[in-house]
Amino acid sequence: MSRIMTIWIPRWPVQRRILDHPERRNLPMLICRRHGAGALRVVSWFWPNTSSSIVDPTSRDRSCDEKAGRERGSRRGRKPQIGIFMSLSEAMSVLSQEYGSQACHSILIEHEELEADRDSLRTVARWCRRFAPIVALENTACPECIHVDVTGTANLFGGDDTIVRTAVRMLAVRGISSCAAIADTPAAAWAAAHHTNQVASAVESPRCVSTNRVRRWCVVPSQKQSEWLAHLSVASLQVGSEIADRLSELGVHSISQLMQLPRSSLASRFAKTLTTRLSQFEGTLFEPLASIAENSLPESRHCFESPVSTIAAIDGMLDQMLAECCQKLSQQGLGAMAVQMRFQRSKAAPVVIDVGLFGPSTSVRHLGDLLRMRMERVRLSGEVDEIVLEVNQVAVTTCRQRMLFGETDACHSKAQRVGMLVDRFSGRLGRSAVFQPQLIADTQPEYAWIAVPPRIDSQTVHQSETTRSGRRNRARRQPQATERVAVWTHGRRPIRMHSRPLPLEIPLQTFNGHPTQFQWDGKNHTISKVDGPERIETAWWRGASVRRDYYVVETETGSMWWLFRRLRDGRWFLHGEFS
Amino acid sequence: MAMMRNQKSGNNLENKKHSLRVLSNDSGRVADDLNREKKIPATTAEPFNHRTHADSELRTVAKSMSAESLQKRIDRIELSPADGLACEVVSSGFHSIDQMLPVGGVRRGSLVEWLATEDGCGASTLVFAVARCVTPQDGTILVIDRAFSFHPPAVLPWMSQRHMVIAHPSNAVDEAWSIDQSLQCSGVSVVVAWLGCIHPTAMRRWHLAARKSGVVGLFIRSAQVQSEPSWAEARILVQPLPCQSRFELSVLRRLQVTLLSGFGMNCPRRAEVVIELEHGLEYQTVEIAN
Repeated sequence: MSRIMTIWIPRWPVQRRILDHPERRNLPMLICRRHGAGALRVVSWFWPNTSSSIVDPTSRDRSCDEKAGRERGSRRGRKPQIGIFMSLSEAMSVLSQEYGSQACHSILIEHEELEADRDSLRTVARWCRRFAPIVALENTACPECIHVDVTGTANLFGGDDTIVRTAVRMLAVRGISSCAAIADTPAAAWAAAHHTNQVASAVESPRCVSTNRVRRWCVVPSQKQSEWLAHLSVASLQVGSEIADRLSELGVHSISQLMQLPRSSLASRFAKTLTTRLSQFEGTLFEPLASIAENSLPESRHCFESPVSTIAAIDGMLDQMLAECCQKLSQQGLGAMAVQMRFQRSKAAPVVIDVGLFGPSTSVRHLGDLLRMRMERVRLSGEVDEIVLEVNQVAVTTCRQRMLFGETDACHSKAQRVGMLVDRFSGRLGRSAVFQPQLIADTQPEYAWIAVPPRIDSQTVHQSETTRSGRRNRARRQPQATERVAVWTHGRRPIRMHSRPLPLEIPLQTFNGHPTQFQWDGKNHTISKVDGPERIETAWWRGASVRRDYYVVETETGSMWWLFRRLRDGRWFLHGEFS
Repeated sequence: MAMMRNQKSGNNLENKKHSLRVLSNDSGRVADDLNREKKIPATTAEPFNHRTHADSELRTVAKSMSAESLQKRIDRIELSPADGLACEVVSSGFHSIDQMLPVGGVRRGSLVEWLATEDGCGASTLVFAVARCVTPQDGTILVIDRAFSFHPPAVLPWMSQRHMVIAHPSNAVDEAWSIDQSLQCSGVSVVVAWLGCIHPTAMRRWHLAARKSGVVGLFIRSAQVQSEPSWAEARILVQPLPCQSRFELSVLRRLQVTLLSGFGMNCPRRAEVVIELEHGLEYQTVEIAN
């Protein structure tokens, strides 16, 4: 029996934009589609909160209890009640009613970009080939799900539970919030992935570990989808809103009720879609998956005559395989942005090495250095039968004169050399450990800046899958997005700031509300001059407010410190040093 | 025929003798003319003494000049990279620091250590102000921050068109590797890092890497490492100075910098630096005439 893992990335258009522009993580966003006679309708929206999960996966489902969502939202800072396909004007009125007119000024409104969303999702799907070779996108106009055929491969990862948990966690590391489920059919897996919380809690499987009270993965046992998923709503079958509404009028709300009805009557009263989807859900009708294996991006494979168990043996083939891929890319004027190398093993899960670049490159030496740097940290247990090298993401490269005697550093521009250095850093330190700081219009010092991927060359356009014909709207939108994020002009800020304010060991002796002395690191510091207070309060959309009075203090020796008094309880904290 | 030949030779001889006589008679006049051209007085007694005195003075001056120029040439050769690249010296942005440094500024391809006497003394502020001036427009400043405590909004408004990239290594080995790689990359203009204990071998490697690539390394360390050997071209102690008024607290930063060691210098040099905090530049007073 086949086993299909479906990974649902809720609100993928929003997540894709936040991945491309991390500075938007703290801004509310509406994504709209032009409908009918020019009216804009909201197809997706995002409300920032301070918790780690940026998206509430259950709020997309209409059949989900809205009260629970509202209660959850109230705990996190009150999310607005905006429905999908609500008109933009209606959505704005909801915001202004709940949060005032200020909300309408701070919100970002973006147009839907179906092609860009699909291309980026295809890149993620290609990344999922580490779990199984057959990977497909959801067959809809706005796909948000990836189907992975894990028949026979789940055992290599330690079972269904392990592979589904690994998939969700690895995507979370890459900044993608997702839910995943495994079932016998794509339709059943799709339904389970959209209701992981309900499925896991209904069955009380001990292996479905919950995080943050939301269960992000579940496994439906083989040939039991009818029992485990029967309580889900009819909308989980992807039959369309029209059919679901009609069934609801007739009193048919759940899949179990639908399955009890005779098929002949359903076929005569409703569109063929309903019976087809029901049969696909049960497994009586085969649902094909359009694999994304046929793509235009280059890949290279090498099968060993006899399995090898050392990295040195693999290292010898690396340059040749890279040269093969880079040559194809160079002919098209493209450069690799993401490369995946897999060591396929017959008796164990494949060892996968992912390398991402901040700028397109066709340099065999540079890509080889990055892959070797990662290979140094790989311990091979078992034998490798085959190496697969795939280019998962490309971008257009700038034209450059070829050198007669090979490439050296001198033939690269300064920006390219810095880009290559940044790639080496990210390969060794991690992608999140190398970034460019960008100022954000936020009063709270902890949120006054964010880390964005380094972009040394301002003319570089980062695209997902190629189209050489014409620039995407994203390129034109980039300067608009940065213009929207205003630079906050604020008072003096320290160069060294503690990530968390440190309580001062001894209460300050204050005179007229100003500090006169404090103790830190075992030393007594007598304050000679004080500048302040500068009152800072957090943004209205964050929930619990933070109200602090900041002071710049100078001690008798001339050293300067940044202290604040928390207005809630009058406690003093050290937040930074003007080092 | 022979007689005619002899007569001709005899005539030639006489002509030659005559010419020689003319030359000998005229030699004095010619000598005088030559001397006049050389502008040496005709009398021999005075010129001889004057020439000796002038010569000795000239020789003394020439000796001192040659010694000084030789010393400068030696300094230049020793300071220049081994592969013969020209050593470019750029201003630190602070006149007092430029005057203090051995080469009159910050040399590209060198390491400079800034020793902080205490927390909050302003050494990091000064370093970023110098980095801003040393980095050209569209240049890149690479910050290696292992402690995760660098707060970019304090200095980002100074940077204008310059790029800043921050790296967060998680351990000392990665930190040393990051600094080494950064100093080898000629696309980077300045590398800033806060360092603790460094192995001399590592610093020598950084020194060689910087000399080859032309990257400037600005390292902020504690003043407790004064006694440790260093491959830095200059070692500067930074001490805070109290502000003169409460108004200065938010606008200016006063520091005392002491050059503890530098190439070719024998004794420490001290100077006062005032940083204007809005733009990270040297604060210059303008005297208004009454």
